[in-house]
Amino acid sequence: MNFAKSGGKKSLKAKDKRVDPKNAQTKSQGSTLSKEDESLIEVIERAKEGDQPAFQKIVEKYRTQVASIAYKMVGDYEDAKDISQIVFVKTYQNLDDFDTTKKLSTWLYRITINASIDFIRKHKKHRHELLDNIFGELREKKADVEKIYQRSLINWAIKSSMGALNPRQKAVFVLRDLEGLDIKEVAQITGMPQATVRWYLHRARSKLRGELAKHHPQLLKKMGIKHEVQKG
Amino acid sequence: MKCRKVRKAIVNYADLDEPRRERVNEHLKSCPDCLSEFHLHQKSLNLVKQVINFDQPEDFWQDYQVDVRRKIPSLPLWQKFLGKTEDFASLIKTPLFGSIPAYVFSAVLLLFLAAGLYPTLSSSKPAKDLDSNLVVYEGELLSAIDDGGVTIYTVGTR
Repeated sequence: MNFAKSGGKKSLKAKDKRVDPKNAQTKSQGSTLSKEDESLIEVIERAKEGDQPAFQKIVEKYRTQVASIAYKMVGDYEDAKDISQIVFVKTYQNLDDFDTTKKLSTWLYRITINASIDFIRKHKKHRHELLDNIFGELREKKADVEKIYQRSLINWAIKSSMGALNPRQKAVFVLRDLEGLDIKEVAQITGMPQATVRWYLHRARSKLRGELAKHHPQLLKKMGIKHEVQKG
Repeated sequence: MKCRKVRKAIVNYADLDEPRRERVNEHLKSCPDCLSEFHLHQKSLNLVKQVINFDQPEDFWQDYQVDVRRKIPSLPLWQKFLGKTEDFASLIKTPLFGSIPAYVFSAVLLLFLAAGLYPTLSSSKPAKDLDSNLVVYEGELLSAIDDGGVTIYTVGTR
């Protein structure tokens, strides 16, 4: 159940989509491009021609956002790194199919979400770096054991609550609430209507808070969050 | 606005349109229970945002680009050949017929060239403007008159 597939094999048709960066306009906004957008399109065009430094520029520009989304989806830094690298490999292989009148970030985020969902399905897990983090911090910082333990418990509670969300709920929640994208962009990335995105968001937020209240009420209390069980 | 509707709206507070948000705000001013629920939701959400934050380890980006390049599979020979073929078959935009494959364009061009040169190369007509000409004709010579510039031979049939 991946979101709208992004591109396939290289095709002649794709080459016709190439746009002269000087004349290019965004279809969605219908406004002229900024200088930054123009230079990005030039970089993409060069990368399409097989220019390695141009492709490296694209990786450099987007790697943090891509890895961030992957991490928030799977909950593990090593896995997030692997997924983000797979995303850029796929990007390289399908760059010919990318329409330069569209936003590259939207295309990349869609590949990231799909790759993350594939990973979660394959590994059937939402790993947490709880123990590694605790022992690592204790060794390095020699900080207050109780404080670190409490913080790790909070992390664990929240990450395990995130694990209760299904892939669609998790994807829209990560993109909207954790990455701060607007509903319209989330809809473009996931290929869902805006109303459906809102519905999944509502479900994700309610479920997340419900999970926290159900399984970790003491924790919320410690954090100063009182919870009353909703009736009806 | 009733409490039940407000509780639902609180979950999507950040995505509410302005008039709806105003109505929720109005309700929250006069309803401590819903206000408490609102704070509960906001705090929970902020806690999740704080915890699930991408704060990558120091060595996260080490050899990142190198690994990406290593993971890009090199094309097998047949695909490289296919790539060359695609280049050969790439389209050329012509003003009259639009886009046509390069090899078709080249073939048509060669045909036109050949057709243009054919009459010149295959013609058996004598070249014009020659000062003198020699016609070999086997037959009985009847007479030869030289008028100074041209010699006229009269030849009978065999």
